[in-house]
This record gives sequence, C-alpha cells and structure tokens, in this order.
Amino acid sequence: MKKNIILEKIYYSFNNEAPIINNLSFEFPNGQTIAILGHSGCGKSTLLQMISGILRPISGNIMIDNNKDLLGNISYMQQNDLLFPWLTVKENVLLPLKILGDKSQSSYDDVIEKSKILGINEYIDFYPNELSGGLKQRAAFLRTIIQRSEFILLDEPFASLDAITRMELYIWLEQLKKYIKKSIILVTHDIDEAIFLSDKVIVMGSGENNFRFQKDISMPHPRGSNINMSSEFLEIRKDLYSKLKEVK
Amino acid sequence: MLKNIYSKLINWYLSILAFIFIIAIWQILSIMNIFEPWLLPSPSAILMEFLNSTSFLLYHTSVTGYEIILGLSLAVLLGIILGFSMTLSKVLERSILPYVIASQVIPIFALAPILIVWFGAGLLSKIIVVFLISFFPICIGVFDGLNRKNNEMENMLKTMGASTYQIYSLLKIKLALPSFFSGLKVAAVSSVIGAVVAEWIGSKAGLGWIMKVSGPLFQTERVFASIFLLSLFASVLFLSVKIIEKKLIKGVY
Repeated sequence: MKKNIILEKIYYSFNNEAPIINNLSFEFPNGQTIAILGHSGCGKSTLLQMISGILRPISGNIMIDNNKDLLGNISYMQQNDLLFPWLTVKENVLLPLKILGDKSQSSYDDVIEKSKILGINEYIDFYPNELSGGLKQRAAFLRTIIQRSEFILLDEPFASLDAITRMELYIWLEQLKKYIKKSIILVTHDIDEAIFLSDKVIVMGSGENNFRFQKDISMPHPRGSNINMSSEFLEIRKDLYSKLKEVK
Repeated sequence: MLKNIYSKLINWYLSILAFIFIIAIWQILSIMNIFEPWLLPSPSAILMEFLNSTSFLLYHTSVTGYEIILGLSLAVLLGIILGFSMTLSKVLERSILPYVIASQVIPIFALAPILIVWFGAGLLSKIIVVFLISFFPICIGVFDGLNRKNNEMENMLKTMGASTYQIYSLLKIKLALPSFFSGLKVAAVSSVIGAVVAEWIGSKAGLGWIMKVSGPLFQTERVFASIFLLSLFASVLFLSVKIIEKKLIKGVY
C-alpha cells in the first residue's frame, strides 16, 4: 500500500520568536508532485527540513503513515548540489547505496541505466569541478532518486541555473517521472516552475494558516516546453500570481 | 619523464642559483682567510668531513632519525586519539584541553633533564621529548579539523540514513585532513629540534650528541656537517608529509 506524509499540527519558530510554521496540518498524498510556492523567508525550506527529519517541530508530528522515523526514509535534495568534490560523479551518486551497504551488481546497473536517461553517463568518472552547473544538478538529482524512499523533497533545485538549462531540466524531469515512480514535494518561488512540474500548487505564507491556497494542475504529463504558452497555463499563472500578492 | 624533471628544475632554478651563489661566496671568503677555519669552516672542508666520516655521520643520523620517527609516530597516534576525543563532548574537551596546552607551556629545556633522570639517557627519554614537542600541533590540528563543519553536507548524509560512524568516515575526516596535515608539517620540523635537544642534554649517540662533543674540540666542520644532515632530514620529512597530503586531500579545498 502506498504511504502518505502526514503533518499534524506542526509548530516551529527560530529562537522563540514569532512562529514561522504555526499549527500546520496537511497530508501529502503518494504518487503526486506537489509544489509549494511562496516568498523568500515564508518557511518553505524550514518545512522541507522538518519533513526530511533534519529539523524537529517544536510541537506536532510528522509521519509517514504511523512512522515518525523520517531520517533515511525521505530523499532530500537541497538548493546546492552538495556533491563531494573529492569523489567522482559515480562515487557521489552511489553514496546512498554505500550507506545502506548495498554492493549488488543489479543496484549498480540500475544507477548506470538512470544515468543514461539523465544524460550524465559520459561524465560518470569526472570530478564535480569538471562539470557544468546543469550536469552537477543532474548528478545530485540522480543521487537523490537512487535513495530507496517513496518521497523526494526538492528545495529550489534549479534556482541557480540559467533559464535554458532550467527548461531542459524541467522537460527531462517530466520524462523521468514515469521511470522513478516517486512522489515529489517541490519548494520554489518560481510560479512557472511550480505549474510546469506539479499536480498541485500550494501557496504558502508564514505564521498562522501557512497553506493559504491550493490549486490542482490538471494538464497532462509529460509536459513539453510549449505548455507555458497555453491559455490554461497562463490562466493558472495569473491566478497564482494574484494569490501570491495577497499572501505578501 | 625527462621533460617533467626539466620543468621542475626550471621552477627551482632561482633557489638552486641562490644556493650555489651563497656557497661560492662562502668558499671565496674562506680562501681569502676572512674567517678563521675553526670559527667558520669552508664548504669544501665540510664536504671533506662528509667524505672522510661518511659511515660515522650516517650511523648517528640513523640514531637521531630513529628517535624522530618513533616520537613523531607516537605523537600522531596520541594526537589523533586525543584530538578526536575532544570533539566527542564538551566535557571531554574541558577535561583534556588544559593538559594538552600545559604540555606546551613547560619549556622542553627544563623538562628534558628530568626526563633523562627518570627514563635514562637511552632511547625512551628521546622519544618522549620528541613526542612532547610535536604532539601539540597534531592534536590541535585534528581537533580543529574535526570541528570544521559543513552542515549542508552532514544533513544530506543524515537524510540518506548515515550513522555517526559513516558521517565521520565519509565526510568529517576528509574535511579535517587539511588542518591535520598543517599540524603534522609543523610537528615534523619541530620533532627534529626535539631530538637534538634531548641528545644535547644526555645521550651517547646521535647528531645532537656530535654537535655537543665536537664544538668544544673545535671540530666545527663536523658540527656543520651535522647541521646540514639535520636540515636535510627535516626537509625530507616535511616533503614526505606534503606528498602524502597532496594525495589524500585532493578536492577537499
């Protein structure tokens, strides 16, 4: 049975100041890509850190069904690629398997297969400083999806990339979804990115009632580069833009 | 291969030229009898001493070298253990750090005679003196290095389910290496001084002993030959550490 991530009245504040996450409850359903859209500083990254298990909420619970043990059960890709510069791409990507003690040939073959889909198989023996920004992000993404978890958290993974590389990665991620079969929670402040990649967009604000607005995106997957010119896309964009302004 | 050696020589040519220039000036001044030979022997006299007393000098170099290697190895071993222990908790840090600092505050010239009384003029007292002089930079290097944080990378490993042992072995030790090697390079050079001090105060062999007994006999060319061998040994030790460092810390900076 597929599992969901459940947030139960979670509360968090930095240094006893005004709460950044206040009494938030939500259930992230399995099998969907959900984008959390919000202004800088509204608590998006803090929320992801709590879901990943790195941060603990001051009160409330975060569970995968009834399991509160989150570390190691949810993949988390942070804003920077965080590739270890002293390891090759292959060694970096295989880290999650190394941590699990998995040295099987089938797992290794799976990594190589996915690296081909990602277009980084030619660079597998390179060091990170020999790669472009886009290739580094792909390698970091491959390392994230290799981890054995049903959920992937993406914290503005494309924010540091130029517009063309970003679009390439959106299209590639759309193609990849059918292979990886994982649920994704994406945090971003880019409206187009949120609409392009997700099945649902949540507009987030800080303080009371963090999830202010939700919008289902029903455009079919995989989405192509022309979709952001469609009237449906532009309509959703307009709607989300006005909601974001309201939140601010 | 030859091209490689040639390019390295080109990189070092200024240093080599400076060395040749200094030796040449020194030799010319000696020929002109500017310095008394018993006060400052000529480079050729020192060279002759090397050639005439090769086996004698090599034997005493091996004695000093043995003391240095053993003392430095002990300093590396205990420096790593104590430096690592101090990172485990604040209580351990507060318990160990004052003694680590105290070991450096006591002048080695004051401590060495006591050590020789306690442990004799043999190998053990020399190893302890070398250890005491070289332990501090290694221990502090390990301590500071392991405290060097990269929270994002550490968090990433935690989300992958890494244990504390795996976080150390995959990340923290690697990040600590530059600091450890900085300490080790200082220790490698200091250890040579430690061995000479210990031999000077009480020994029957070693380059420090040669310097001590040859000076009053006006065998200054022998003293200079010993100094040259000590410098050479310290340089080889330093370069060996640097080569190992280069291999191990690739990509960490």
